[in-house]
Amino acid sequence: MGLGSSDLGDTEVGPGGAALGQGELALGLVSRTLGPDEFEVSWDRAQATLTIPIGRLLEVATALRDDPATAYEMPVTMTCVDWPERDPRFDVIYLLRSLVHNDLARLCVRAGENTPVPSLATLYPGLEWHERECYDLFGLTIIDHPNLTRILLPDDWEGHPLRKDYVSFGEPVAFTHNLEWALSPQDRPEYLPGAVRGSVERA
Amino acid sequence: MAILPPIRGDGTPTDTVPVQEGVPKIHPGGQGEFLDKIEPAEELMELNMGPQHPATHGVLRLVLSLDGERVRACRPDIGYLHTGFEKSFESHTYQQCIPLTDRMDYLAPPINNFGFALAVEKLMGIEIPLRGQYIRVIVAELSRIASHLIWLGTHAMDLGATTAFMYCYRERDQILDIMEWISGVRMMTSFIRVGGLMADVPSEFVSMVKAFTAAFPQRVDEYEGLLTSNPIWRQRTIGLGVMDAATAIGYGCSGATLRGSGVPYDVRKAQPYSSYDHFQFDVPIGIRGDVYDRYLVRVREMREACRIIDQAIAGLPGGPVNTADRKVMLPPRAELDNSMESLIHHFKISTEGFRPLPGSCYSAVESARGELGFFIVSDGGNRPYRCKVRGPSFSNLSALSEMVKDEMVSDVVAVIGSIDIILGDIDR
Repeated sequence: MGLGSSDLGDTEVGPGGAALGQGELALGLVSRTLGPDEFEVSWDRAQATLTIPIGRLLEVATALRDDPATAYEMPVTMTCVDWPERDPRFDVIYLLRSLVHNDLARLCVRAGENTPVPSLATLYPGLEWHERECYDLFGLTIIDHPNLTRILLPDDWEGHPLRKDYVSFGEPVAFTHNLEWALSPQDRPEYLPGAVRGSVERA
Repeated sequence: MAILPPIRGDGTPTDTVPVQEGVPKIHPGGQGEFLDKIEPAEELMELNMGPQHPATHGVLRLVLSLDGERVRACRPDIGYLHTGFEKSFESHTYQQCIPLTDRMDYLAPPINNFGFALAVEKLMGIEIPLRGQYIRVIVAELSRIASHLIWLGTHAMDLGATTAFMYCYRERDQILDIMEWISGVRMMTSFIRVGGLMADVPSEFVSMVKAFTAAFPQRVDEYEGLLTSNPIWRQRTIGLGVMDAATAIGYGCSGATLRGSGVPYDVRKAQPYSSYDHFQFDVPIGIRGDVYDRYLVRVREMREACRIIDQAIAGLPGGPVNTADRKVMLPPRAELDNSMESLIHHFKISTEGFRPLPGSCYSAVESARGELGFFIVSDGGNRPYRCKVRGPSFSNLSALSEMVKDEMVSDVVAVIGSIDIILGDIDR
């Protein structure tokens, strides 16, 4: 399961959505830059997600920013989605906005825990902090970053909290009425905080 | 000045007060001028500002590299208010996430509810009735005014003008009274829910809002009378913390921080949501990109917000406020007595919530500080698989080091005040 696994067509548009088909300009440019088997496109809620190989990220992002036909100049955000059962486990998402064309591009690269992801901080200075956040909370390996340190958590923090296998909270204290809390996160019923997804449902 | 779609950089500025040439400036020149003639220091001094500094508006720590009184580099250190909202979202049902969003940008909580609700509604493909949309707009604009009033009061107080603070809190309290009247809570209202509102507004709401908007433009005149033409205020702010449009865009700035630099980008105009395209309003932009321009833009935004509220109140339609989709919103109490199906829906929503189809979406609103975006990934469960909050202050603050470079250390507080940061929004 991953981004774009949904079977929703591009006709779907919600009330919060703006125009139909955000990201079409980026799709046009990427299909000119990359070969047809080098990238995937998936439409979801009227937004195109372009999954590109990690080696071409810097090149594609530069083209998206500098080509006047696309002009995605504003970095909106960058984030990760963790799919622990998949290899590579991370979807690294970049949202880039073109003010001139009023369009939003969504780039996605797949990365494992130790896959080097090139930093886009020289292209988009605003992404510097977002990359630090991904390093901090997901343990993403980012290379060529000017200052790759933890940003939200203390420097001596252990682990990366937004990973799915990081148990967030829930003290395993057993009382007579909630013995389930003493179970390990894997065996804990899904409705309890801190349980690992896909664990045992209550019978 | 209606801008749709926004054009980068060349919109006409709507500077409310023309800049008088010849006004003596401290920046650059003035008392700072002789400091520039001093030879650059061989070694820079590191100075910690914060995290308990009163002018950092929360717990922000700045590591300043000083050459005498000049800031040569500034490194913001954030995370003191990190509460792990994004992790908490993953263990709460969608509707339970609403009170969490209140606590991020805690000066304008309804706008956070608004952004999250719109994102989930986009994920599920539902639209709420027009009355609900209009009330959402009114509540959001009221809280935008309330947030700008706090900004104005504290920003002026940081620079030594204490009177404006008292004036601003007087009007903000009226807004909080309205919030209390409609939701029972003054600040953390959780009034806007996925699929609609907590409840329809009481009958007194319209008259309360009308009374507020009738008096408010004169109040803004009062604030402007204290500050806009005040020579001390102008000396402290004009030409300070300048950021050009390209830098602001490259850092992903939004809101008044971006518009002060002359970029007419406003989410309400560029991607109108919740009937914002029904209302006439202008997007004020600055021309110099300094602290004074950002001040003018926000003050003008309060007037525009007031205009939007007036139009929304005048055109407020009747009818329901919540979506008729019973899979999302609870059925009315009366239906439970004679409809088995309603009872089932009531039970299902109360016990497990609703389950959007798998997929993802990004949806943004214009918060008081800029583009507040929610990127939500659903795996088909009743809780978000991943919810990324794009806090506007996060990107705006990352540009601070550009703005304070080569400014005086005493002006850093003015620049921080002008980008109107909320640490709850940055650290999340």
